[in-house]
Amino acid sequence: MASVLNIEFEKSPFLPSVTGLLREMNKTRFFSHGLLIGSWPMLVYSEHFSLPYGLATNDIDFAIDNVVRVPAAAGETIPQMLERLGYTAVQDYSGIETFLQGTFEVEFITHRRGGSGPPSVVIPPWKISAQPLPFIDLLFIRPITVNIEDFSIRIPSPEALMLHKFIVAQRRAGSDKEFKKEKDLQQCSVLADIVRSEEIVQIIGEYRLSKDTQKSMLESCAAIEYTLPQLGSK
Amino acid sequence: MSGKEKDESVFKMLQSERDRCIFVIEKINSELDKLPKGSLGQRKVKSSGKEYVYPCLRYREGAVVKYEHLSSEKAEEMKPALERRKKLQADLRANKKRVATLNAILPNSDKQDG
Repeated sequence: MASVLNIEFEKSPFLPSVTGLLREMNKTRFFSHGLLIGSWPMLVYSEHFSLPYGLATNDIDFAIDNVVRVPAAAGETIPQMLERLGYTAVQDYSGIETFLQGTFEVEFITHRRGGSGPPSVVIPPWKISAQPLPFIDLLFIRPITVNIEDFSIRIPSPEALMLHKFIVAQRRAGSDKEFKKEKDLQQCSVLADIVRSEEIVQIIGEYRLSKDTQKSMLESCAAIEYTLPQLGSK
Repeated sequence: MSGKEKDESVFKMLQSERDRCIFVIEKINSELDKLPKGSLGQRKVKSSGKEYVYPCLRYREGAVVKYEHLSSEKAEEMKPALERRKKLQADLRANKKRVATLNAILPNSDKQDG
């Protein structure tokens, strides 16, 4: 098994408002079952490994692990905490909840099993409405703990993040799908320099991949000329 | 990646962020439509030599400022919705400003209104 990756920052790599949010999320024990996802983990890896990628948008996405296992929270719920920090909850027509503060947008995502399901599910102990999406469970395979100043967060490992991007790059939909695909693959080619082969092998060995998913991964690998161990692509 | 491709990639990133802000603006506007307009205030009315103070809702209809008398209970009930509106209006301004900033950076062909 690959060695555990530890990341420590004496000074937060995030903007003060994002650092404040993450510190409060940590206090709610969110990271025992949650991860910071989206483009923000790339910022962590860029800082830690001096990678040429530092672009993060103002949407902050959090992933929540298997909702059934989330324990009851004591004290403040996450929406209450976000409201205290100045975020306003807004729900769109499909029930997807977003928390807004200025140009920042916080959203919660959870794993979706199967091809379809409701547009949002409520995680009872935290009273968060999360959007179920496929392949989110992949991000929870041996995530990394990042110690920042006086608190810690969890993010997907570079290997899980890269494999996830390989898959979703080929499944993007909507008017900006080409741009998003390009961005996914750009992040993959940056991560390819730091991923641990043994961890890639391990994840591929333990994560169930359908033939279609394997095909998607191979297409992404070919696009960035990366050889994926086990699936045998170039 | 060539220098030109890098430039295009940065522009696409900014364009995507601009589009995200436009989507946020749409979300805020649809939320604002559900909330009452105006702000809470007080109106003094003199009658029979006495002065009475009533809570009221102040709002604008075109060029005219309108005052709607409210009961104290109703005024208290409306407070959270009006505060929420005020907060969302500040978020709306922040997003519109960001769209304008991003539009100023993006090439002419990529500009879009927020």
